[in-house]
Amino acid sequence: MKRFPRRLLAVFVTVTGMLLAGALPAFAATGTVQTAGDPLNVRRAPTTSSTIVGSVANGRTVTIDCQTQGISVTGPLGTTTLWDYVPALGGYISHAYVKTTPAGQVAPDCGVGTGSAECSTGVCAGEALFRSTDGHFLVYDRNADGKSAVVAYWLKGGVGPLYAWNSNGNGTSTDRATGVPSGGWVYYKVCVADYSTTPVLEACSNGITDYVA
Amino acid sequence: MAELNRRLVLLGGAAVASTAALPSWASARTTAAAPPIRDPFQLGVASGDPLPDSVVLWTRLAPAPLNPDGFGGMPDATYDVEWEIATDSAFASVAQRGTVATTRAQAHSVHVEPVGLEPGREYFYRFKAGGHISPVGRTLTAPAPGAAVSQLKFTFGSCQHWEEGWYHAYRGMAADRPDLVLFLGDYIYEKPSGRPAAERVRGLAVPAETTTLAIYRARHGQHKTDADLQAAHAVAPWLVAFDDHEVVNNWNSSGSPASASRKALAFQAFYEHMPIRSTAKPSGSTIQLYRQFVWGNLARFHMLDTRQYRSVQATDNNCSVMKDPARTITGTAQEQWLLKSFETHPSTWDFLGQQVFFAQRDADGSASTCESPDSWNGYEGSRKRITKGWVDRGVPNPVVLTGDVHRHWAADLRQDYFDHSDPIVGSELVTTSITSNPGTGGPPDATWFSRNPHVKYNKNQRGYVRVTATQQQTRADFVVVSNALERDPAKVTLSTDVSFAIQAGRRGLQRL
Repeated sequence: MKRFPRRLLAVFVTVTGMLLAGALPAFAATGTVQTAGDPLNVRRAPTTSSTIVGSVANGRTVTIDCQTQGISVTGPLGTTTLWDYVPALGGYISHAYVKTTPAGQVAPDCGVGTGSAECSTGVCAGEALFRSTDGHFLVYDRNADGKSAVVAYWLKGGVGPLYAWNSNGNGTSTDRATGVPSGGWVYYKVCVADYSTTPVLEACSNGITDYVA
Repeated sequence: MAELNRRLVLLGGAAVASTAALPSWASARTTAAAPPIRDPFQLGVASGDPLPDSVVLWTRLAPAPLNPDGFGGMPDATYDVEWEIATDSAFASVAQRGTVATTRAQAHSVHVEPVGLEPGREYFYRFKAGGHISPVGRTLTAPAPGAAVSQLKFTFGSCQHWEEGWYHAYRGMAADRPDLVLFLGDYIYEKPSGRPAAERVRGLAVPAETTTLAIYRARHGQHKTDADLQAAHAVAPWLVAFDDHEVVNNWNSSGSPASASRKALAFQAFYEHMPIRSTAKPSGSTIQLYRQFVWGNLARFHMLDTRQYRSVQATDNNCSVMKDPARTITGTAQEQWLLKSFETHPSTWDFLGQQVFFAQRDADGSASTCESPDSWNGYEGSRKRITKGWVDRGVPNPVVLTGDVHRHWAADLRQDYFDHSDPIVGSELVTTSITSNPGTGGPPDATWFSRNPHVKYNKNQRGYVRVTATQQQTRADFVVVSNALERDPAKVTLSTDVSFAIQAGRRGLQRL
């Protein structure tokens, strides 16, 4: 049995404390938008059926916080299911239009605490953005299907699902607070459902864990 | 600040250079390929399988524990995890420390088996990874072989369907601060609950049936996000057994309902999430889980595996099959191992920790009809051989501990249950479920009890059993939770419904 000298243990703990106090180091990547010349659509969520929230010019350098699997897209750089999350643009762009070195995964999987979004499967009737700055969900209803858009989410400690609803109809959005503290995680998926305290969820997205900044 | 930081890191490196076996922050920093991670200790810590000089310390790195890919949010890289075990909760007196590497191949789980600990001692342990420190766990080593031990307090539970209730029972176990916790099966369920919506208090993040390693991992991981379960794991070492639902309902030694490949997936995820020894690391579709633990001269635990080696269950309550002595619930090797162990008597009490109902239950009192083919009723040859085995070998005080049936039961054991004057040769304590809900329904009626006079108690309520064993008696408190569907602890009470005692050297349950 070895005993660690007390003095050195104290050093060990001190260093640990410093690491804990520091923010999570950033490890984003950069890429260059490459199109035939026209601007590239920026989507709220990583699918071509998601809302267009802006555009980015050919040749622009972008900072990619994270990457995620989404719908397959063919572009100048090939065919890929990879999508790049660029917070400065407010959403996702297909990696088929982004030149990086190396070509594929250059940033972490999404859920890095700078925000994320998912669509319900199919036509993206339900769409939701998790805003890491304050831990709110913005829930969008994008289809006149008679259903609500809803985020089902789970939290630390064993609680879930809780629900963030938008029952206001097609074309509307709601802003729902989660109350998750800074640094806390939320696992969520975006679905459609008839409003209920015990809903039957349909067309749910894959699910993703994100963090409050 | 930067200057100070660098100096301290170098100091740490120097420390390690002088003690080669020990890790350092410097070496952790050389894991350059491992990206930074958020607090990975979302599943808590656990310990288990205590020996006089060793106890298993467990955690799993999972900063995003519910991710459907089963990877817990960990990058596909090797991470160094430092551990330390101390004799005080402030870690002023560290007994041992070290570093282990963990990878995605093991879902970034960590099993440490320190040796050279002192017997019969309370310890505290914690882990560090990626600059984060885990919660602190409390654990104990077993007393030295033959050591005089005056008391052992342990709790046991089973059947914790995630959706069917809140884990108040574990809050009770943590408050009891026992020396040991036994878990007797159905830690996870392979499918979502079939109960009505009003009886499902929460949901599975990945609700699909556990047919892939990813889903098994996500299912286990979600359970360990529960704060009360984490507290119970952190309070004492556990002795864990599995039953059927860790794999699939009513599996057995054959390829149906669980194929060899499905068993392999389930066993891997089970090992990754339980504080069990490397001797239980699965090899494909086999896992070595039956094992023994001795608590000085007071108690011995035989942890059985009544699933993996059992003959295929009888269908249609077929008596000729259920009574066929050629069939087995333990397999031959485990049966021989258990009978051999009965030849020695190192302790006052022998507790058989196992899954399914041992005592006979027979509603019509007729030997020509049979029931409950998945329990020991369905393997009458095994039950007779093992019961006779402990009688013939003079096992001083045998007590069977059981889960599975979602109700509290207590029963005495006989070699012939139809002969109501046959001598009592042991007792069985059956714990209700932590949460799993059998629906409404009271105890059997007086006629039933008159046909099964060895059965002393039945209660359909969630809870656990708390046992206090001394050289003179084993006392069992059957703890019940007032309402497992209510989340608010302030609105839920835990109370002892009944207590039974078994006196050393005398057979049979006494209601206290």
